[in-house]
Amino acid sequence: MSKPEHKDPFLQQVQATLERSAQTLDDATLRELRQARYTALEARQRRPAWLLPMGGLAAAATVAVFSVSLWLAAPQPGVNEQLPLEDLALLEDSESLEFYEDLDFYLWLDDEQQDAG
Amino acid sequence: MPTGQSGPGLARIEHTGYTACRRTALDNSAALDHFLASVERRAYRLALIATSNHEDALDIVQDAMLRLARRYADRDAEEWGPLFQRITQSVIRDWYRRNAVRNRFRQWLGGKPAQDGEAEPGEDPLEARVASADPEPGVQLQQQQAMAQLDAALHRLPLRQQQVFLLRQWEGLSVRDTAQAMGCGEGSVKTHFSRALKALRAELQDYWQMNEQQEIR
Repeated sequence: MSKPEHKDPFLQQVQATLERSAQTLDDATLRELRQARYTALEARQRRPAWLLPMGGLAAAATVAVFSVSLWLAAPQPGVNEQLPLEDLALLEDSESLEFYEDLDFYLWLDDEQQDAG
Repeated sequence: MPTGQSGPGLARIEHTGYTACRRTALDNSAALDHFLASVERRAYRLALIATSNHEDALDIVQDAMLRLARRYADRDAEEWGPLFQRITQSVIRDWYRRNAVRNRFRQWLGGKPAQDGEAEPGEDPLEARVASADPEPGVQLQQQQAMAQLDAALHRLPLRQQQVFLLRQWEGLSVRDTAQAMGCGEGSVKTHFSRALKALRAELQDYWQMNEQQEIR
C-alpha cells in the first residue's frame, strides 16, 4: 500500500497530526470504543437462531409496505409534483434495506443493552 | 472387522472435534478482538472528522464493528481490513443521508437545521477531543491547535474528497483499495485526492508555516 507523495513536508505534517490525534484520545472515548468492540464480539457469539427467519419476514413486509405506498401515492394526471429524488435514493439504497432486514436484531440488541444497564 | 466407531471411541472423537471447533472459534474471536482494537481509534477519528459529533462517530464505529463481526468474522483475517474500511464508508454515507433527511424535516417544521460540530454550552471542543499527553503545555497547545485546524479544514471538504484523502494519506490505501472502499472508480479517487490536497494546502500551509516560524523564534 503506497502512500501518495510521502516525501511532501506538508503531507508529512498532516500525517503526523492525524496520527497524534488518534494516539491522544481521551480515556472516556477509549473506554467507549472498547465497549463497542466487546458489544460487537458478544453480538456475534450470542445471536439467537430464532431471529434468522424474522429478518426475511421484516424485509418482505418492508418491501410490501413500500410498494403499496408508491401505488397509493401515484401522482394524479395534471398535478405536477416534483419527486423528492434524494429521499427516493435513500429508500432504494441497499444499505438502508439491510438496516430494515436487521431491524429485529437491533431491537434485540437494544433489549440486551437495556437489560445489562 | 469393525466398519465404524461407536460408543466411547466415537464420543471421544466428537468431543475432540468439539474442542477443536471451540478452540478455533475462540482463536477467531481473539483475532477479531485484536483486529478491531487495532483499527478502532482511526475509525473513530475518521467518523469524527466526517460528523463532527462524538456520539455519532461512536455510533458509526459501533455499527461498523457489529456488521463486520456478524457477517464477516469467519472470513480470512487478511480480508477484515478492506471489509472494515468499506463498511465504515457505507455507514458514514448512511449517516449523511439520514442527517440530510432529518435536517430537511427540521427546516420544514420551521426549526433550525442541526449544525454538526456545535459544541455543548460550556464545553471546550479541544478538551473533549484531545487528552493531555505531552509534558510541555506550549507544545501541547500548538499540537491541539494544529489538530483543530486540520479537523476543521477536513470537515469543510466535500465528504468524498475528505474520505478519499484520509484513506489514501492516513490509512495508506492504494488507489484501487480506496476505490473499492468508497464504491467509486479509480479516476474519481485521483481527482478527489488532488482536489482535497489543493484545498488543504490553500487553507493550512500558510498557517502551519507561520506556526513553525513562531516556534523557531
